[in-house]
Amino acid sequence: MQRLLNRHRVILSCGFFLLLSLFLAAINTRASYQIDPVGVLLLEVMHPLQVGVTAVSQRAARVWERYVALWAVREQNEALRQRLEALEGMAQQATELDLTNRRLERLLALREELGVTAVAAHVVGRSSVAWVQTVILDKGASHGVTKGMAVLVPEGVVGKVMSVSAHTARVQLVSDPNSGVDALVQRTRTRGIAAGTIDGGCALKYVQRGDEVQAGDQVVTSGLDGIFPKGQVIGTVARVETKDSRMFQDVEVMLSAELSKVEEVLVVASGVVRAGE
Amino acid sequence: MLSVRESDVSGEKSRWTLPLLVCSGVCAILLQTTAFHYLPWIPDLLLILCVYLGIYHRSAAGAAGAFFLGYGLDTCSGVPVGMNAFAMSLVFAGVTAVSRCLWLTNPLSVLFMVFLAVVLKTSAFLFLGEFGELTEVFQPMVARYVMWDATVAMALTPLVFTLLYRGEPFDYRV
Repeated sequence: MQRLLNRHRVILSCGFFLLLSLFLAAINTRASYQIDPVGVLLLEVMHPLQVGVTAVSQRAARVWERYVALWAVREQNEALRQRLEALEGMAQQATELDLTNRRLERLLALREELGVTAVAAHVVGRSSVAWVQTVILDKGASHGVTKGMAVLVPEGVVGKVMSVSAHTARVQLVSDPNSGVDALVQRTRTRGIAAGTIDGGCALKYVQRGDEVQAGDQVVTSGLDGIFPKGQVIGTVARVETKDSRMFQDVEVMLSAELSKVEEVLVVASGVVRAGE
Repeated sequence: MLSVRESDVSGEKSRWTLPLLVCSGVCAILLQTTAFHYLPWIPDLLLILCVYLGIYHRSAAGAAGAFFLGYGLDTCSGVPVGMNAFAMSLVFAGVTAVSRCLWLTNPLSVLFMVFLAVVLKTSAFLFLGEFGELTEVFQPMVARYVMWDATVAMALTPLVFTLLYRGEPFDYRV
């Protein structure tokens, strides 16, 4: 008997512990959490250790979470920055489109106001020399643009077409020293020639000493040159100077159109248009 | 009959084996009931320990060790007492039975044994679930996670076995 027990000691012990655990499981699962003195003792022993390990692991987890959170925040920050850049780009594009739309709307309104067929064009190039004020348009002879046509924007006169190729046109700006637009002071109907100055500005030339002109007066096209429609705004008188030794007054005109910023223009056939007619 | 040298080693071994296994068990219980809860998956170190006992300590002491590991886990984790004790005893018995018939020295066979142990433990839980009318609690849980349990346990087995193996002189092992 003893030999048999020794021989099958492992099997028997396995069986014993299986039965014991099954018994424990049976009483603890049917009537849950019976008082277990050994378990209570074991728990009391393990409790401080569990508290210690829990505290350490909590701290480690917190450090880890902060580290991970920091990474997450960094990634989120990067993503948000990219999104912000994209949105800023889109907003800028939308603003640009809006501005272009407004400009084109005003050009369209101007064309309708003039009542003629006009060609809308984009400025694609500008003079690189300070004393030559010209721009290049993206419309040329193939679009109906011819030499001598007036170039306008809703704000006022831009210049006139000096030469054309099939797809481009060169425009002499009203601020060019060699330009000349027959003009008159709107208030007093005083006539003169609006011409560019060497510094890129504009002056109303040949205004006689006796003619009444004062700062703030609006200068418009007379329409007599056969190029520009009558009544188109050139600018506003900025300064008037009369010298005894001179026959004419020096009248400085502030141009209405910001020629350096013009992007879209309307090219109008010369000699046929009279605003309001 | 052990030689003098083997006897010495065995004696030294027996002095170190119990503390080593008890410490390992306590550490495993502590980790499984506290620190491992911060991990995405709780590795079953006690199961690996039971497999180790089943392979290298096929004795009544080994059976008792497996039982107490499960019992300790039951007590410290709040599971109804007997659940893990039964599962670990069953795992020990199964591994012992297999290791009596087969040489489990190959690492791959050990990993396969761990996988079987996970299945056995899961089966034990399912059985106790039916038995203790806890089917609703245990059955979905163990059935769903058995593969993950096995994968994680198998991944950790080489480490645990290496640590325990180095802690014990070879001659003492059965």
